[in-house]
Amino acid sequence: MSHAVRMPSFGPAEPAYLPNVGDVYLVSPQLLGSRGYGDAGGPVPVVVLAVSRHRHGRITVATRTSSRIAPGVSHGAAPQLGLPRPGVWTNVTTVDKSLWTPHDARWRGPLERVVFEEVQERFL
Amino acid sequence: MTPAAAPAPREELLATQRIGRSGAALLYRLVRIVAIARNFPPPPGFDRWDDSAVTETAHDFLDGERGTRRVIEIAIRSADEQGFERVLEQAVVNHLRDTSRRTDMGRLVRRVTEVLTDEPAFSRIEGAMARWALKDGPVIPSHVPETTLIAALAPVEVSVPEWSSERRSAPLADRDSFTRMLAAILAAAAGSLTAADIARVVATRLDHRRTPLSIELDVLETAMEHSPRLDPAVQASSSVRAAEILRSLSESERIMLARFDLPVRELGSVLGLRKSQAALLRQRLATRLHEELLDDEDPDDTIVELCRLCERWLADRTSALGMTLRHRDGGTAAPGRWEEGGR
Repeated sequence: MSHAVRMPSFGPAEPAYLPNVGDVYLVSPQLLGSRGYGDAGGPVPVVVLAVSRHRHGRITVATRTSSRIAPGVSHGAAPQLGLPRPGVWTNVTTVDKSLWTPHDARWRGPLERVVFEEVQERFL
Repeated sequence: MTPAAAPAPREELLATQRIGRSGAALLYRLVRIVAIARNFPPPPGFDRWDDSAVTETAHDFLDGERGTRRVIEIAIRSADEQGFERVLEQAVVNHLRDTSRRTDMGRLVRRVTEVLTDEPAFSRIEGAMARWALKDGPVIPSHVPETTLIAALAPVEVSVPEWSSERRSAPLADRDSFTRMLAAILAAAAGSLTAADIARVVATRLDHRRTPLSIELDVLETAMEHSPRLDPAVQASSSVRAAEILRSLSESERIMLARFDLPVRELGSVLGLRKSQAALLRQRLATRLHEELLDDEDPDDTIVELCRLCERWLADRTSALGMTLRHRDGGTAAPGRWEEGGR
């Protein structure tokens, strides 16, 4: 078939890994199912709230916006986490576990405990 | 000696006019993410989005001349690699959406045909494309507008059976409901309809699309900053910028943008150049546009508008040249109007 000639084949997709609850990751906006997510279409910061134990389960995350007026848990700038501007942890969504790959979900570090507890309290 | 880094997908596509390793890797990745994250159904024969399902869908996306042309258009319409990925992602979303609609509608047409065939209340009128009418009813092709047919469905009672299987799709409605709907539509049609016509009307009453088209999240979308492409001011700015760039382009460059879908060899013929020269000029043009649009707020929109202007310019030029030739035939040759546009 013509397309088989045009397009090389590859092996299996990049393997997924399990994130740590309470850690911040920068994820590709496509993982969240909506184009244009994020301030500039770039990676979206999320903090992991829960990880399903099921093989085909989902990862629950809270997303962060740099809009100061969004409802949620306020969070100051945290450059060490790749968050140079103050923002708000504002919404909870889930991501398919199979999409959590090193390419599309980059680890940044643990969220400050006091902020994480507040996020958990608000959203879980 | 360290091996040279692989070219980025857009760069590779512009240089070779075909999807290479980087482009293929990007396409596989996007198909997988979009399909799973947006909950599209896997292709027929697959029960989940495994590597084979992703590969097959990516190949479908590229299949045929149209598929290749679409990817090349995406490469020229994007100003950089990030823009290319964004536009390609949207194209993948649209492809999966179209496929999903086709599959679901196809299933509905088959179900309608099955009920029409089995139930004695309906009769089949043979022809190049079979039509259906009420038994002993008028058989002339119906000219009743679709809105009237849709309105006729409103009072029809529809029952959807309870369903617990996760492996098989639930029926859209029970058989009696289907029969009632088809009878109501054909009565209102006062003539015959094809199964596809009928299915389109039935689809307005049933949830025939099995899959959510996306799982957009409302709260965050309103909280996030909106993309500037939604802003009419940015759109107007793109139009102005595109017109400015158009004025600075030579005739050859305008033709290259208008016919970016052409393979390099054919482009060379159009421009009267060798293949290698055409490839070089095209690459230079892409680089130049990329540099010109570095500070553009939405380079994708500007490129789309610029391509549109070039296509219009080429169409006008072609018809003007046709008129000129006709004038010349009559001995009243007009001056070469378009030669003044070149640099």
